[in-house]
Amino acid sequence: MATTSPPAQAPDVRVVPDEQDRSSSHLYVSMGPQHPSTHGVLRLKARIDGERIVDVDPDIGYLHRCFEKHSEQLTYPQIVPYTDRCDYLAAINNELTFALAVEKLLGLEVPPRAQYLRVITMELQRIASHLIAFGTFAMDLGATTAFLYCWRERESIINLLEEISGARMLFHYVRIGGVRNDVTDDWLRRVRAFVDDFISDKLPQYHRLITGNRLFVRRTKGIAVLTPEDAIAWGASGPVLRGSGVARDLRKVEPYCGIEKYDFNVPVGENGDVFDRYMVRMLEMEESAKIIKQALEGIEAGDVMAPLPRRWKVEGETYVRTEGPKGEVGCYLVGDGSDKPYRLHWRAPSFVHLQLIPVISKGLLIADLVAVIGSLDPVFGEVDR
Amino acid sequence: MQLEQSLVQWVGNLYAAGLSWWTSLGIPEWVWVALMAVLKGVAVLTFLLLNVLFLIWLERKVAGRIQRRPGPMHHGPQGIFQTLFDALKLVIKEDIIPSQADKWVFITAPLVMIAPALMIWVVMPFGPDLIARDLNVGLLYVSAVSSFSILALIMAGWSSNNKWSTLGAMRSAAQMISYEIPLGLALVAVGMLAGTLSLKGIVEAQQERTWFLLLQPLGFLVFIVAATAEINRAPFNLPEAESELVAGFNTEYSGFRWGVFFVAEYANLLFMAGMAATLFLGGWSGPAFLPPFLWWLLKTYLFVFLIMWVGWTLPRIRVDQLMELGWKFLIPVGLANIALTGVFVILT
Amino acid sequence: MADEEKELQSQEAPAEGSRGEHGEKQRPARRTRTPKKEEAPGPHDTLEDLPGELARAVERIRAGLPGVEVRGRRDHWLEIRTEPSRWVEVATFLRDDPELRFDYLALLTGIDRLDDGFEVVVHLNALTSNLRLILRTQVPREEPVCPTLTGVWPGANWHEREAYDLLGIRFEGHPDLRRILLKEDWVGHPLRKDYIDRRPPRKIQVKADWERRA
Repeated sequence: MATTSPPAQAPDVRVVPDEQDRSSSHLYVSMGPQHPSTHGVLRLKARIDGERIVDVDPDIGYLHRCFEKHSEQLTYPQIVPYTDRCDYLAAINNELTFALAVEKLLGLEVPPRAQYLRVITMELQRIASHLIAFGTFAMDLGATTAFLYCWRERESIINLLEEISGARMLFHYVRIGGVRNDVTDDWLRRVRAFVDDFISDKLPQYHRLITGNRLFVRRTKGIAVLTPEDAIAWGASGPVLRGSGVARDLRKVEPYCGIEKYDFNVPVGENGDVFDRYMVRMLEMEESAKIIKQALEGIEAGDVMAPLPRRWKVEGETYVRTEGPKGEVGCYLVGDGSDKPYRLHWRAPSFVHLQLIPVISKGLLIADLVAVIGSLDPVFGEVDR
Repeated sequence: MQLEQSLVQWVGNLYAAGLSWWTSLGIPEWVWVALMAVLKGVAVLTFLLLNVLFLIWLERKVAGRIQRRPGPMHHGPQGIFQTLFDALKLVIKEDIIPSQADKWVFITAPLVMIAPALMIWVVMPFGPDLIARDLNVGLLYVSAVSSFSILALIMAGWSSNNKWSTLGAMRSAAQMISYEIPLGLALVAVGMLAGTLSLKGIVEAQQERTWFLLLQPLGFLVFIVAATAEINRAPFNLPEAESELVAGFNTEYSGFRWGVFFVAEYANLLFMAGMAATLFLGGWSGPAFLPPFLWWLLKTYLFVFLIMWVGWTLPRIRVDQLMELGWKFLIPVGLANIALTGVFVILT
Repeated sequence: MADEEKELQSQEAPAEGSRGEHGEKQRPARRTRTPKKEEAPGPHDTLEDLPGELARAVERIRAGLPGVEVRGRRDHWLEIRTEPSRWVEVATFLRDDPELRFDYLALLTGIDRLDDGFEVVVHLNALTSNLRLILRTQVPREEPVCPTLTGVWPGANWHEREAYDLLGIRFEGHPDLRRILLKEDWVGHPLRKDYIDRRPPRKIQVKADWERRA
């Protein structure tokens, strides 16, 4: 490996708009990185005219922690917990993506029980993540109460997952070759009870509280419309893409973990506005619950871990993607035959979605900008990595 | 009723006795009158501040219950002393004035905010004789004093030298000016019906006829919406919309100054609820098993609870929709209500 | 260091079932079974007999883009390797060809291949037919310049900014090529294999209260 120092490069200096410029009536505001509704550490450099947004430039990187560089120094099993921290609200989906990528390169077969457990935990995680998306979105619009209602169900999910993994957010449950722990029948019964209660009681509550509210509908319908053409061209995925009416779900087009055996629908929106993105998430929770129910019925006894190779020789490259709650979670993995990856690139859906903010929020009000961020549901662990 | 009347009588006797003793000392009578006015003011203020402390606690409890959580639980039974300790904390916090702020405007803004919030209580009839001063232009006084707080918000927003504060101040100016008008229209209709602008007179008029809530349903609707907007409560809490403007006009305020804004806000909430009770629910009048003052308190807290309930349930309205609601709905309805009331008054 | 590594390796690779010097350190035999799949081709290897749809797509690409290397992989991704000079042309063809329509850019990233320069890798997707394609090119290390794809897929914008930020690949014609994750005055590109953090050590000294008083 070459050890020469990189050539000294001139720092990239860009022209910063002159904030003291009095010739226009525009006001430059810096929304974030500490702002109550930028979902973490997003900074939006907005140029506004009154309350209308003329131009907005997202500034990210405040949570950059060199995940990709770091993982080049770690063995494959060591990387798994680091992937948790990407989308920390949906840790299982990240672990799963990475585990699938390594398994693909190793040619590992995962035992069927582990497949079922992966599906159950992944869909539970999707519900938990969508609950936060919904709750914070409602809170951004000023409806604080919905947020705490979501916390109640998310807490149940976290308790269930804590029981099998020992952690409350960054589970480290899905491992390369299977899952960490087996579950008891009692646990499965309680998942069942939770899902039944969620569908019959809790979800309708949310719809009564928020979806039917006229203030909410008027604030979200027709706002920040993302056309299907734009959505595809800008690489949107997940609920953002489906909200625009493109029925693309990686669970359908590139099935993994045996998800092709399950019967579920892919909800799509009609107009591609904030409301549709919200609604797609709400409907997806129902579909996730459906998948969990089927998995609970089909689950079979057996091992939960495949026998792992004693020496890790991961060679070749692959790009594995799964349908995370935020969108297409991708792991581009290049192995050079050693036990550490040569290159790992994490395709974070939120990273791609943030590009859309300037595209769809021109001419909106500041209050709408908040709704737009909420409807894109970015998580900064994965944006900045 | 009996007890309160005798109490009032007793106080009146005391007053007269004190006055005669005072004049016997050779000091002019107006000093005594002024002194007594101050005393009355202090009494109202004490009552008000105690209520504000209670209200803040109540708000937390109501919000907590609505959101399936207990709210404050430490410090006293059900956390009743929580606000007291919060107030203490605010008082002993460091007083921060941003270096780029317009210092004197920054300092006076909370005072300009709290002064009208306290002044306005002069005309509030707590009971048949429990009123600091029964002005015959009571309604006019209310609408005049309540619009004062715009000035304070603009001062606070502007002097902070913070873009979010300025935006919050601009929002509040637009909002309060827009909602002053429907509020005034609702008050006019009530005045027409009662034939007087004195709040005491309005309550007595309701005793004669019936609650104005039944005679003025439209006016009540306009009033309660406009009042909620006027005191910046959710869903109309745009000037301080925390998820949009950080904290709006009071972004840069902390410690005691912020506490003053807070107290003023709750004093306004209590006042608007009291006004709603007085104008539309017959104020202190009610069956005799409770003293009039308690009737007033009961009705007021009913409205307080209503406003809190709405606030913790609904999402916030957007700024252009707020203007639409004010100018395109409330003002026409308010005007129509005046016309209807005029016809009604002529016919009866 | 090297000796240590050798030692580690020798420790790691004892014959199956044997016991080392410290027998208790060996894992149970169940776990030491090595899968027999090591010789099996990986998902990235070439697949000769492609299924019909992929074969048609390969034909189409060969016809439309003469001189471009294209192959199908075992994991059913197509792969195209091209020169940086034909980068945009190839991309535009892939997007606009009515039978291919690779309209969705899933990922654009770079890899530091040391002496072979930098590799730019693009993962494409055709949403209607669900064809998948990897587009790659190599740029020299001394002059890592690659044309931008933002004109073809606007979504490439931030991906390219990230590759520029972390790997130092300059995308010519990019509308707004500046650092995205790192600070704007950062020196160097950390994902390069030869990157050395040359920042001076931090001068923040944390002292406990009693130390400060002493």
